[in-house]
Amino acid sequence: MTAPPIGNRIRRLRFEHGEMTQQELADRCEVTRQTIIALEAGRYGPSLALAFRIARTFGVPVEDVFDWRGE
Amino acid sequence: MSTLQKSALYELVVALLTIIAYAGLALIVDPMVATAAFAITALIALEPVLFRRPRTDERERLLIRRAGVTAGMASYLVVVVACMGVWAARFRAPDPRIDVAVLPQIVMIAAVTLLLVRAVTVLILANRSLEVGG
Repeated sequence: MTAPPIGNRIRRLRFEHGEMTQQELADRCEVTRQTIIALEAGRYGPSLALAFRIARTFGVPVEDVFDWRGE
Repeated sequence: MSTLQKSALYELVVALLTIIAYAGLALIVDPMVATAAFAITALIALEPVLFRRPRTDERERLLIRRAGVTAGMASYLVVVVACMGVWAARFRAPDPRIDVAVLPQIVMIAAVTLLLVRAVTVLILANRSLEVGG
């Protein structure tokens, strides 16, 4: 199984937002910590709804969090 | 390790215990008597109590769905192969009758296969790349 061609800046954004922990972000986005870990490792391509929830948590547009790395 | 993985590991242990008990009893006593070993699968009923999942998110739902499909396919394959295997074995026998007690065994073997494959698939997919709709 290949990794989804979606990059993200979640780890950097967490640290820019008061060193937010993975658990805090998971709680705010209503997902499990394992999902945040998989997202940061690039092992999971989220749904649009989750992508928007994460972006809203950081108060930035979704394209500032995720970027397309496919062809 | 997430609660989903712990619960998959529990399912795997129960399935393996059942297989070991069934194989052991079938060798020592009798395959029909060994059917009693399938009672061990009842331990699955404790799973919601032992591993409470406060929240199931989209990734876990995707994992569960894919594992369910894989396990269903494997289980169906076991039923077909077992039924055809029994039929083929008895077809040319002098007394080509099939003992009715074979059916519950096939059903339970399929159920254990379902448990085993679902647990293994969840454990494998939990560390693999996943994509919604992928």
